[in-house]
Amino acid sequence: MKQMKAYVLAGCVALLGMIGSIGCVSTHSAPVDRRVTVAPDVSSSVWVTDVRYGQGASDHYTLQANVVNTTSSIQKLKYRVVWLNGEGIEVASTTSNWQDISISGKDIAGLKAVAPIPGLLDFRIHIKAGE
Amino acid sequence: MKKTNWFTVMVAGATGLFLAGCTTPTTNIDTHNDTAGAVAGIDYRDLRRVTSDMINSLLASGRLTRPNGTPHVMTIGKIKNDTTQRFDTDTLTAQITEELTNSGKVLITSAMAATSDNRDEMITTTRSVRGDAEFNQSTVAGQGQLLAPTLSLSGKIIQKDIAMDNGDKQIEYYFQLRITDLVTGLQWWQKQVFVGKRTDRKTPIW
Repeated sequence: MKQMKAYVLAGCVALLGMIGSIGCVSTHSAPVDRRVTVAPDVSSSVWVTDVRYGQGASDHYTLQANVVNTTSSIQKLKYRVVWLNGEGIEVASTTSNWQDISISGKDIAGLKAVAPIPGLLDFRIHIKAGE
Repeated sequence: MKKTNWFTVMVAGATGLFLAGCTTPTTNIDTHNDTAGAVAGIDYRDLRRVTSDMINSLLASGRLTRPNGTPHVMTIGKIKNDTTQRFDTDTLTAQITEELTNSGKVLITSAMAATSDNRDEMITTTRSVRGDAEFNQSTVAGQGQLLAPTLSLSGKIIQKDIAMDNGDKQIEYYFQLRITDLVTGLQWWQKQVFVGKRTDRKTPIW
């Protein structure tokens, strides 16, 4: 009986340990936003942690994608923001051109863009390695 | 004599082939994926970055939004090129005015501008035929049709050359643009964008 109790207790402890360890597992992967595309050669070095947008004082939406450099060295990147209308067709904008940005090691930078037309909110962000 | 001539021809031919192989072939610039290095002067990549920063600042400011939603009428004022380079400042303003027009916030007038390049002479020419019996007068623009601008876009591009300790040259370009309310004289918006270059002291920048 005592032995059985010991086995049950051990089993409960093991089960609790397993449940606890599930919550502690670190995925080491970037949050997923389907509107963001990061080139494979930099996807392990930079993560887009979140994308925020707001109108502020304007009726044009301003978006900011926060990018973290997970390495210790400077990351030189290029990014572009493509705005899409209601039919999913690209709207011409200066932000559609590739822009350069450098992020220091272990630092965060905000990639900003303003919609070319009031009320436009659908966008895609592309990030690739810079020179 | 024949040997000399033959030798001369060989040398000339070899020299020609060598020089032909040293020339750079002409290619089109892939503007979507331009991997060429930076240049000391202002190139289209710099202008793209400048106009992008300017547009983002202007649209985000909300200053061009009217309560009734109607667009402003804007004229292109003087954009001074205070650099050693000869380039048309319209290459800077053209992209900006295109974006502003597409945003629906602004309409650019061709009836009044600081330079003739931004004025359309046909506006005056079509009015010169008033009273001319050859033209159907109902199709000729009547008086009082032109809209006066209420805003003006003007600015300056400044260049500053600095000698570095190692003998290299640092070139600083400052792009300054502003929008002025022509009714009150007040500046509604202004922005300065900096573009910096470092190059060998012997590199020409014109």
